[in-house]
Amino acid sequence: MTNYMKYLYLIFILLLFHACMGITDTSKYPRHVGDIPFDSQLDDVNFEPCNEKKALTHYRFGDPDLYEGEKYMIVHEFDNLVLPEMDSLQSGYITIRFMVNCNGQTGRFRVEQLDFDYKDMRFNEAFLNSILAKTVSLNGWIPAIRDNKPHDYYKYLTFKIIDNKIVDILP
Amino acid sequence: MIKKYIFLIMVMLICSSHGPPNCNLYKKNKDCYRACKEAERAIKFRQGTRFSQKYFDQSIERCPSFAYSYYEKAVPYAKRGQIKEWKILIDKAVTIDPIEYLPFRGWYHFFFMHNYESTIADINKLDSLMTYDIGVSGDGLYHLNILKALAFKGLGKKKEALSILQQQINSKDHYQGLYDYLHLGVLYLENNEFQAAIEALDKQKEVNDISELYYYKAIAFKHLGVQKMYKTNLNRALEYYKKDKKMMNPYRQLPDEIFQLDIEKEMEIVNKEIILFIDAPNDLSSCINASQLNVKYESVSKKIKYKEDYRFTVLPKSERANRQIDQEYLLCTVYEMNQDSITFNIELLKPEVKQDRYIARFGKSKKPFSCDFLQEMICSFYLK
Repeated sequence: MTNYMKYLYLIFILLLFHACMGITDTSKYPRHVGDIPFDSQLDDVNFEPCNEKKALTHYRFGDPDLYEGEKYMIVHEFDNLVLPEMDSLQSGYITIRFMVNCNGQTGRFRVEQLDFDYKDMRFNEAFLNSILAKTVSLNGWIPAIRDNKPHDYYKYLTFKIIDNKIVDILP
Repeated sequence: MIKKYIFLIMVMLICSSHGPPNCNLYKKNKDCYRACKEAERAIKFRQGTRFSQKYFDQSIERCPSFAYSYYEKAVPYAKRGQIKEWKILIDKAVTIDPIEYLPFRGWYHFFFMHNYESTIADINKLDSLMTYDIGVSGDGLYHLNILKALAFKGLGKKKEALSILQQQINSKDHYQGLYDYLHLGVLYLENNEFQAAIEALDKQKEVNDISELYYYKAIAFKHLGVQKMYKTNLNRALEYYKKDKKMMNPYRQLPDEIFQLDIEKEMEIVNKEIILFIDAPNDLSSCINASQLNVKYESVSKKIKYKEDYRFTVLPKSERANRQIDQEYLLCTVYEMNQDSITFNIELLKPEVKQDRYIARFGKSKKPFSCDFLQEMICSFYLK
């Protein structure tokens, strides 16, 4: 019986090897698209994921908003944000991706600024920082549970800006 | 029954969109056949994982014209907020096979980015390439003309949106989406066609009975001044919401989707009203029929968000003694009057509410509105 189990195990390993055959260079991609690895130049060392290797994306849970008061409250948080006055009008998207750990704390913020053709652009620094600071300050994130276990997860917010005004918060 | 039928079609569409084409179609081209097989390998791994992406790379390397692998490799980027990466890949898929992939690109422009111009451009481009029905959005949720209508609405072009939506819904062999009548009802509502809104929302119930339709019906009844139905529908909206009978998309918010707090905030409003105690020398019946006393209202400035936060009721001054008043008299000055409405300036004591002007429109009257003595009114702010 023990030998039989060993053979089964060997066959399983061989099948696994076969499945991955041909994939030689895996370093190009993260474990999952959208993973945000720690960067000592950017990230707060005090932010600690609970089990980063098992972090998932926000839509893998029953409640994809994962915020107290759902998306309604996320949008409401930005209602009263006073954005700095600017000399010129700017439009485009600001996307902020980040991680929420299993205690509902956030870290590893990454920012991308795009025009409406999804090409890189730069918003006024003070304007961008105002939106980023507000996003960092959001404190209603709900720790995610899956299979009765808490999980770290990745979340993002995209701000659609027209003429220096936030007209939409996505997704 | 209809709902089940639609659901089955959607499941088929969604599932088919995740699988590569039948690889046997490529047997004459050895490289593309192998590319297809690599894509089949890729989708055995969870979408967006390292191995999945790598197999798609190998697939593309073997046959750079195999559009499916560009498309499928692009999807996880869009779902995770990396739209730039998505765009580079989906553009390649669209270049190779526009008829297959424009419906996906248009839908993603709409859903993930609210990029309405690009949505319309993609649908129009597809339309120009086809001689038959343009079909449905990438995930099968909408006929593309419904999506186009929603994109026009996003641009603020509500008349165009309504026209396209009506035309598509009434067309022969229309592909019935799960939320078509909801969007139609909301468009009527936003166009102040309240009765038409209610009728459309009732049709939505037959297709997909969800919290949102009751919420929007409540708003329509509020504008019609039918207080009982306003409350009943709000209660049902909340009941359904708590049972998860609502719009839902894991990748996030759908157009016209509401949240529990939307309903609860509206429920607070149900019990808030401003009563205009008209300081008339005689019984109001001399100029206003009792059935006219519930008024609709709108903020003239349209800029102030609180405009829908209160209901207005007009009562004769003699009624004041019977009402509990939380805040005292505020001066309302009549701005303009005609046979079916009065426009008045009002100033409330709440600090966040500044002076604004309202139009109180009276319902159909047996007797024309003729309180010509009302050059000034005394109002009280009344909270139930």
